[in-house]
Amino acid sequence: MDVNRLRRECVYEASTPIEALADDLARIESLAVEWRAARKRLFLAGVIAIAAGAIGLAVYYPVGLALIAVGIFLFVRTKSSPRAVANNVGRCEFGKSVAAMLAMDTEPKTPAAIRLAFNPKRDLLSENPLPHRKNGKQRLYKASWFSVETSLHDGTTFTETIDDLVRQRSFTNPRGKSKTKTRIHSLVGMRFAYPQKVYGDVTPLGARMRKEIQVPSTASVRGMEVTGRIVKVKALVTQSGDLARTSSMLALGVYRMLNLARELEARKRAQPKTGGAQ
Amino acid sequence: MTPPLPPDWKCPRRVGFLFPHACLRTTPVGCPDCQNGQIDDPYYARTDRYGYSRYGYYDDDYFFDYGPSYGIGIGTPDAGSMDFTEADGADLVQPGDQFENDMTES
Repeated sequence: MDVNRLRRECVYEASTPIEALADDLARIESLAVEWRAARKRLFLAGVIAIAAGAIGLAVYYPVGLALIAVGIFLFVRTKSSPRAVANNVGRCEFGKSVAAMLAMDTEPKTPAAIRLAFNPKRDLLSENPLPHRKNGKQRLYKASWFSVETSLHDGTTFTETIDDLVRQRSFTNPRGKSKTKTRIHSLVGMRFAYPQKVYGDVTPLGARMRKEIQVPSTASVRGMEVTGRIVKVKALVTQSGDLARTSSMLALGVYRMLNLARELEARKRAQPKTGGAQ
Repeated sequence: MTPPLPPDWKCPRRVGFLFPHACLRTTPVGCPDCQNGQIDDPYYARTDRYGYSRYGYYDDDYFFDYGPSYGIGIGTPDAGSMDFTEADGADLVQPGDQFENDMTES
């Protein structure tokens, strides 16, 4: 695991067997705890140094200046323990949950390509004035923070992505204070590139698949595409705590119909051949 | 006490969360799926699939609705199961009760 990159860019990116993935994510969780503690220690030490420096200026100013310099150095040092990893450590829990789900249907040594960003770049999607608000403005951003891809036992290539859709509203309230309100929803995207020799063409099951998929009450299926090779499904989740559950339920819903397709395909093959030479 | 397993033994049970596949473990001891061989079909017996109860079960409607799309004839949900087997034949020659042999009955 590239700890330096995690520290510098707040990104964990690896191609590693599923069984090792959970260990890496557990390590990030413990690093996040360490870094949070280190930030607190450095911040406290910086405050004490600057306070002592202020007193020192009155007594013997070279010592005061030196202490203030030490305090500023300590504040700068807090940057080396990024806050974003600790603030979004729940993403590790989500990653572990996805890894645990995939581990049950994947060869243990099969590599999984994973990317987990704790402080992803926000891409501005739109910016509009907010009516009925003084200086009102609404911005919509997209921030992609999770992707995983691996091959399952049945030959399917599974891909999952999570994008945060951020709505940021800023305005000036009647008291003249500047206010910003942020709402985050998450878009879960899944893609199953299934082997046709196992499942046949599942296109006829597409409508039933959408009907059969169950999601928690805080999520809704927003799109589905079924072709002769690929099943794609998207769901919007309003509570980040339900992401892991939504992921599992989406995959189960898709596979319930894929399993039916496999059964139908097997029965078709088992049918005695009719017709032929006269 | 369970008899020792042959050296090349591989577990024939179905396991999996999303879809069934062969277990192929070399011993059931400590297996989280069959729990030391106590569960015959760990795939079907899972209870952690959230709202999907009877996940691996499809009633006949599914096969009637989608069988034709797969080129399977309507009314033959499972052609294989309609064939008589040796066990069926044994049942015919060894009825469970003695009704047919009891001439005193009307």
